[in-house]
Amino acid sequence: MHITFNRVSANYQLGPIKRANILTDLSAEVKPGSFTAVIGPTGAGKSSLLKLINGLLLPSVGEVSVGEVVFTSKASKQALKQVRKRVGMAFQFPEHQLFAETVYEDLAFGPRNFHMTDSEIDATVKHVCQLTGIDQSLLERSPFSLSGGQQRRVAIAGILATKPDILVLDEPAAGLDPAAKKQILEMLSNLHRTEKLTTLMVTHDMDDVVHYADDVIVMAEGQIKAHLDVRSLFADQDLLDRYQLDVPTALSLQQQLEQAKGERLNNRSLTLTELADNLIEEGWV
Amino acid sequence: MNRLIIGRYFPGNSLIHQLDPRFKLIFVLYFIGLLFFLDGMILQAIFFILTLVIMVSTGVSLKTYVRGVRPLIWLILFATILRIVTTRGGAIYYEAGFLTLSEFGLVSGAYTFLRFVEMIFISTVLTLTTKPIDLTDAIYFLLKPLRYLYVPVEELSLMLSIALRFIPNLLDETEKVMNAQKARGMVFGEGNLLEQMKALTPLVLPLFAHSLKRAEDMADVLEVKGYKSGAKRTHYRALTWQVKDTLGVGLLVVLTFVVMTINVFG
Repeated sequence: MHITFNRVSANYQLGPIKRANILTDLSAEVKPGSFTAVIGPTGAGKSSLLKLINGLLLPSVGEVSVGEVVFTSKASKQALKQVRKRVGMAFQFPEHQLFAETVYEDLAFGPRNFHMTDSEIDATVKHVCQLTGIDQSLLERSPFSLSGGQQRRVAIAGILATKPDILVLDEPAAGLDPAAKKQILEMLSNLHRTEKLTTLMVTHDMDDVVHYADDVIVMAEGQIKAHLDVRSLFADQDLLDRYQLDVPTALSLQQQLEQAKGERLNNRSLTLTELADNLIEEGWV
Repeated sequence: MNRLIIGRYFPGNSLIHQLDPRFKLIFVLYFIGLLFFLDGMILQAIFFILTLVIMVSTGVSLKTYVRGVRPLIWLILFATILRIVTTRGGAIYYEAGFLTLSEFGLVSGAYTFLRFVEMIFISTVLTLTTKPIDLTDAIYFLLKPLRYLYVPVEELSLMLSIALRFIPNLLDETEKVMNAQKARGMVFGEGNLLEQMKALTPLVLPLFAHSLKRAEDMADVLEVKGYKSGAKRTHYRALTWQVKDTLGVGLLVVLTFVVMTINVFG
């Protein structure tokens, strides 16, 4: 499903007092079925960009289109409902949205809001449990009795239960231990592939960008500064320097090695395997 | 959240901002008390002008104050109208049962209206120019004598400052959870009253759960850091009583004297 931003500006203005724009004059197109990482310093407008896709923030100027739904500053309730059905959104620490008495009820919350029948809901809950690896035995437990990692899983399952075509994630692995983090990200990456979900993910971890994303949107000062594929991003040292972006572990190691040796490798390595290959190929080891 | 003015702090450096919060608190309470003893036009005028002068000297625009009155306007109008129709005296313009529209009624109605507005204005001055945390310290100071009656004043003031401290967090969180549930298809403010109340569960429950958890963490931290209730402690933020505060108390004395003189001889 296509997402396009057409010269969008937005702010959190309430009432008549003028506020500075959070996002200014954005234009971008996210390809259907792609996995796009959104990176940039804090306050760059990453989360606001995600909210635009879901109609939680409306453009003050310009238009956003998600699939065949187009919305501008005056979006109808109907259009918003449609878009929210299409787009699943996980905020930072999504487990804070858990509320129901049982995991089952929490997973059923989204489908109920979108008026699915009871049998459909039952099937959907079973399905998302399978997708996210939640054991059936957990369904009758209270979500508050689960561990942090499991809560996160349930929260994400609750978002998937609305059967979105687009998944929008704001640092889905923040605050988890490395093992749980890897599990969650692997799960999301699998979902992206098997369910053909167009995925956007805000992240600060460049290794995650390398491992999971196809494309990258670089944001700063409320604007999209660059939208390119992962390899081109890390090939462009100017761009990385200008927005003070980190590099993946492998590339950072390569740069240290190059500095120590006073020579350069021909290719920039993004993963450790690549780095090892490059080192062997050029006879450094 | 944008509309609620009462309870907000506007940073500034006016004379009113610089006054000791203890003085400001006493002044506001006393001033409101005096408002109930105003007899006649001259006193009403003096107090109205005084209120205006204080408001202007805070450096906050008058519009802000008017916005603060707005949420309470129906309550004020109700009290005013009640006052007008139940007071009789002077020329009577209209009469229906025990309800009258009389000269005295209109005058005392106007006074009631003024009194309410001045009360709101002057207490808004207090909250606009005093940091919540300073206000808490002032309340603590004024409650201190109650310690001799075994009232846990220290604990009360700690509770108050913690509560104030977490209001912004709670607002942020409310917005976040609201967005998260909206993203799952929840629509707020739709349907009949019962449905709307039911719709609040997915919003209020996560907030409660999270607040409780945070309260627990906070209690643990307090304990770990060796906080003990009832211990003697000093204060990081010391309130300093200055000459201007003493002058302010002088103003209160003069005001009282004026009110008494005019009420007796006027």
